[in-house]
Amino acid sequence: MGNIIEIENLSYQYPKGHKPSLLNINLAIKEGEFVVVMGKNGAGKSTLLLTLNGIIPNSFGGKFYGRVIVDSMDTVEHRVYELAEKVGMVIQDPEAQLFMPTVKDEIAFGLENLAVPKDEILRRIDEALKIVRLEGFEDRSPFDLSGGQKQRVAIAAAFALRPKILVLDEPTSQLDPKGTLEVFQTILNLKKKYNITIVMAEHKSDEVAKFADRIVLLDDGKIVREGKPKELFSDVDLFKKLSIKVPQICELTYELNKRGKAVNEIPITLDEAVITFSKYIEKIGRKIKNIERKEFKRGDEVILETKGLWHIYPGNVIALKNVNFSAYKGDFIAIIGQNGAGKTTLVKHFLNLLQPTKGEVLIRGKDVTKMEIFDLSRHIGLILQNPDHQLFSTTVYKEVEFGPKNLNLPEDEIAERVKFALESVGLWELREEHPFALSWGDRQKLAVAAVLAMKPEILIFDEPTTGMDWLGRHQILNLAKELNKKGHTIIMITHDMELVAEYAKWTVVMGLGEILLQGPTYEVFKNADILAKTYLSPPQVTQLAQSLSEYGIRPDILTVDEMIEVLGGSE
Amino acid sequence: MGVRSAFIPGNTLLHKLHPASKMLLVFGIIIVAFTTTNVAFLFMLLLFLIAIWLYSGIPASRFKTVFKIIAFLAVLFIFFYTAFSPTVNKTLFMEPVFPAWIPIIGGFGGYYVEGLLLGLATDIRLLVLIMSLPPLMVTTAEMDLILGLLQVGIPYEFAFLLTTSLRFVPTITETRERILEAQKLRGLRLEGGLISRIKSTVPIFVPLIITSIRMTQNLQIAIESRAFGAKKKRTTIRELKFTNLDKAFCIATLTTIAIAVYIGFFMIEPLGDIDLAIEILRMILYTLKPILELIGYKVVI
Repeated sequence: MGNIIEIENLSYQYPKGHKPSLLNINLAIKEGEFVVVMGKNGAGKSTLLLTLNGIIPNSFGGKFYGRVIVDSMDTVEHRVYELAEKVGMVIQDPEAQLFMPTVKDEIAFGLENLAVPKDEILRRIDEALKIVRLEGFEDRSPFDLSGGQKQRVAIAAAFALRPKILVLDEPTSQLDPKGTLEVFQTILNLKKKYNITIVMAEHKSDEVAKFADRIVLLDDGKIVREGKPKELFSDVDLFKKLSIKVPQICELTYELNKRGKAVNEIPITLDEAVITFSKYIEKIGRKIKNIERKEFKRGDEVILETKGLWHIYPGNVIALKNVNFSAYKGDFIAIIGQNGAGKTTLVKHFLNLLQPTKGEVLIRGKDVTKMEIFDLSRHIGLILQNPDHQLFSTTVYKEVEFGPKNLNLPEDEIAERVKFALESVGLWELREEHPFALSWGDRQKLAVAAVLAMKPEILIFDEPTTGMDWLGRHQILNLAKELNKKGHTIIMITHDMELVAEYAKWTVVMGLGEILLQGPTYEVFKNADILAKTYLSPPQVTQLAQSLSEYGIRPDILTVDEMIEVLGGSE
Repeated sequence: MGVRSAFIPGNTLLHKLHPASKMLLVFGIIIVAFTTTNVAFLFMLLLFLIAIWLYSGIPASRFKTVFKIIAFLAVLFIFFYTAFSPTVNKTLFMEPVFPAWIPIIGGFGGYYVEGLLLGLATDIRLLVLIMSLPPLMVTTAEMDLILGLLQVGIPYEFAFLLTTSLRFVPTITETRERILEAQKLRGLRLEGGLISRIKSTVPIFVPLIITSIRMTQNLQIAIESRAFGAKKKRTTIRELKFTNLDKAFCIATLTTIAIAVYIGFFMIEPLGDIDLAIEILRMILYTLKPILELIGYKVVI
């Protein structure tokens, strides 16, 4: 089989760019291959993908050197709509790529543009809905679907044009674990049944390891390396250097090997790991060393609690069902659960943005519904997923100053708070910069600083890591951890179980408006069956520990470091 | 979650009609509204429109904000026209309490019946104008509206742009709410005087605009990668038929418009029967007289 995509000496610079976004890229992709492009934010992944259907350079302009040949068509010599029949594209944001009133019209849109006869269009709609398993959704509005369903509609719309190549730019980054699984299953299904070539940018290394044929590592616009997952994921150093996450089991194996423990074959999926490590444990004579866990102690000062909280939306939709939640001073709480489980609704009650249908929400014993937003802002700060939703000032300093100024504090107090907040996040040196001149990570820190200047006791992080790379995730959560140490109570909503395991001390699992389970994080992750009810699973390393329980390994291992200790990393 | 779509499925006559027929009705109503200032005539037109609303089951509650704005404007118009009547024949009915040199509330020496009638006429026109669109929007599915626009000769790109932008209103509204929530917790105040209110929109609109620009770029990618603009003549999976019902409806509508325009232009006086208006006004003022005089107005008729 020949190459369906050939990229030769490709370099590209955006019209307003200061440096090339892609530099001397050479890449050939075979028909039917599943290639994943990995790299940190800003590495050039999206740019590379957009060259495949000619949007770069045909629509975006800029300086373009080299050649991109897709199914024998030079992208520069063809219009984007000609290439659209060869290359389907799905992007990150499920909302922005669906624009028709019904699913049927959405899928028909491309075919109508190509003047495909009506009967054929109707046939292809059926076919496309079948392959993404959304039969019966023809007349639904795409806006009313879940994130995973939306992305499947986007895939169906791309697939309907019968492309040979499907390009997906981080299609799961805004989805919960269930949605992620649905999207991956759909893609695999397409590949298997129609031999479609898949080119995908993705951060989720566990899935990449399982499904990809080949990984291309991008950094700073250049291809650093490419190869089979097995080959690449064994070079953990390289990934660390590029700030790209590897599956936990790869990291585990690598670290053990580094300590001279010789785990012969490097596993990249959980199933492989269970076999490899069973052998390994036998080899070391089952001499494992279990970690000791101190008894978990929470603070004794309740600062936020809900008592018998119910929320019923108009139309009798029960969003919260008798929720009894409490946060003690010094807690680091993760609220987890699939989308629609009630996490956001609960948090909105903390902020008095929604009022209880029944029950009450108390901050330090005071009813939240009777508090002015000003009072409230002294207790709770909210950090949104997207920092750009919060920033508007012309300098970093002014951005942080905004909140304290609104509190009508004396000048010196304001100045002091701004300094404190900017120093806490490490942005004091950049105080004269324009917020939008900062990198995404710094903008997120700035959003945190702006909230910190209000001196709230509780900080709420609403999906702070969505769409972020590995480095960004750890930066923001390390910041949260620091603030937690200084006495702030942290509540975060997230879908990233590895981060929950690493950072949260207390975890609340929600499903269908109820708290299914809460407790110290290590206790919560022991209950894989309850987590499964809300389509969650413990981190990979925890799952590995649980699969190896017959060797006496604790089922509540949370991190790779703990597992290294157990498997004899220490001498 | 915001309202996702203006369209409400149903089975009324309006639902069955071709969008073009409904557009004719809307234009007809607007044209008729501008043929005369006769208050009684305009009032009849308004009643007709209300009947259409009731018949096609348009939820008035959905347009609450719009009606609030109209109510505000209506009071303003009445007051303005009554005090500064631009018509020539002026029948004074009340002398002003404030001297003429005080802006706005002073008035030019009195309140006039003609002015009052003109104010009323303007209010009704405004109401008719605003209320004429929902019967089309609420009874027509978006796709049919695009097709309807195409069939009356509007280019596809334009029709697509129009409906797509409407489509994203709820998404933008939701984003706005999230931004607002976060900024309120940073102490953003929305109340206060005009200047501080305008100032307080900056922390909401700057992020909103930046987010919208980013969304537009994504939308462009999505649209182009689905072969937008590939063929001059697109196909469509939906068909709109101009039925006999439409023909009958359009003939009836055109005839009615013609008759109404004729009546409006030639058979009735502008503003209407002044004497009748004076009678009615006299009755109202008679009851209100003690109060009006107490606060200093002098009723003349």
